[in-house]
Amino acid sequence: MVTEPRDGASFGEKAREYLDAFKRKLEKAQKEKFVFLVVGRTGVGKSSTVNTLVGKQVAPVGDWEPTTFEVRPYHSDAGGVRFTIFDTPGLCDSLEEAGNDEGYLALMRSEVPVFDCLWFVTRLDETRVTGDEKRGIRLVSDSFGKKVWEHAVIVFTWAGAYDSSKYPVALKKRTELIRAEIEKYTGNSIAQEIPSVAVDNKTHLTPDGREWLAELYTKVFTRMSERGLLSFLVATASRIDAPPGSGASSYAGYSSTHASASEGPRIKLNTEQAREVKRRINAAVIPSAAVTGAAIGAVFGPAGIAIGGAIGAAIGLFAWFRD
Amino acid sequence: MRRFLVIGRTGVGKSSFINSAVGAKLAKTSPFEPCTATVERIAYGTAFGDVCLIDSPGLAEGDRSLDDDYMKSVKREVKIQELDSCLYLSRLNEHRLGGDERRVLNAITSHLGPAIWAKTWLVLTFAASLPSEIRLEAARNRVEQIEGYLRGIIPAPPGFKSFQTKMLVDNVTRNWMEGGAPLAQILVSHP
Repeated sequence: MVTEPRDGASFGEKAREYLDAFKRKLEKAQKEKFVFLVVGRTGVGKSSTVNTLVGKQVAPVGDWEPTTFEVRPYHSDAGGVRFTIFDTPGLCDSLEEAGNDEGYLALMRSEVPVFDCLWFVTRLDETRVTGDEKRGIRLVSDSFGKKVWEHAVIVFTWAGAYDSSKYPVALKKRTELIRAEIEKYTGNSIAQEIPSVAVDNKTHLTPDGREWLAELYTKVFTRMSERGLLSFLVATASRIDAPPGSGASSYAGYSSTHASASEGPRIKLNTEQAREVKRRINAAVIPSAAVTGAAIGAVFGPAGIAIGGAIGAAIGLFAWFRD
Repeated sequence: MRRFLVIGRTGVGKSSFINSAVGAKLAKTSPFEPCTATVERIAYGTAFGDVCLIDSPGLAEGDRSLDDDYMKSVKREVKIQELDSCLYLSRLNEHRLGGDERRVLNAITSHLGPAIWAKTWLVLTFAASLPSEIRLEAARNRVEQIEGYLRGIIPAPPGFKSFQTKMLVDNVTRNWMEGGAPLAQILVSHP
């Protein structure tokens, strides 16, 4: 139902302006890129997790062991958007070249100029924060400053090692311990805000029966820097599925026509996750939201279909995220 | 009475292993944080005979200098000659031999001497966490990773071939494998 705004301009006009502004921002975002920096011990499943989120085999999954510290950039694209994943083999591993902290810092700073989201990856079923992980956390903090942790996500792999009764305690406790280690460099307020998410590369569910990909997507989305946020949205929008009962019927028709263009597993957001994503879009993209959500849905839904492609998918996505 | 030194990376389950072996909660354990900072001797009478298990602080908890401090305290408290065997504990459910594990193997070799490995049993923990159909295959891989690494770092003499005794244990799940024997029985009577 479209209602008339108080200040005279028709609601439809306002919404149209709004849509145009959003579309321009998305078009700009499509030309830009997003960047992840991934840190964690070798062998915990960093590459598999990143590949699942971006929907393609970007980083090789293998059994090789690092012998020297390296920054490895993997460049790819999705939905017409370029992105780069920086892997850091050796950063959280004991290597023979011990004690070479200055070399590590110099390499990190020169090879990783900018990134939008920092992943700290560790096994959920690991029983200790190891010395290597502590050193990795220190090196990241020293390289980029404590502010980088404002764009960080803690990713726990091997969630399936726990049964459903022990899983919540393990997730809570391991999150506390990793945050406590980060807190040494950031202080309390930054560290306590870092969200954690549990994944398992052998199954799409966590022990509590939830789809972890949707949760991972939501946490990464909410932590991305503004610079990369819309690029990430355009790159992934065609893989998003609406929460049940979100009024996404028109969008569902859209996504089926474009399904062939999307790669990777579907990201099935539930209502709560969709709300978190939308809140982040609102905060980052549309600071002065003058149009009610219901009206945005009414105008953007069909418009998204008309625009088509990855940008249309992002607009359609925004449409069914209405309250 | 047989004496065993229990040693390995932090969090592999050394203290839990001791509790499993003696059937009582004598060593302090923690599911998520380091808790053994000193060498502790636990002597216990079991149904199969007496056994003394020497718990040690977990390695790779901090930087290398902490490992050195821990190994020095082990050397101070334990005479290698008094040991019947050393028990090296490692997690079964690790895909590769990580850098920290190699660092731990190096620290033990340099502080206790390469000959320590000739009297060491390999104990793979978290055994029940793998499904039974892949467990033995995973164990063979894990043994090969550790033995292969030791062969590489220990020149002859004395050199290193393989572990005489290898065990799979799980400190949490009971009766996870058919034909298993009580830990205390193995520790007291295994040749």
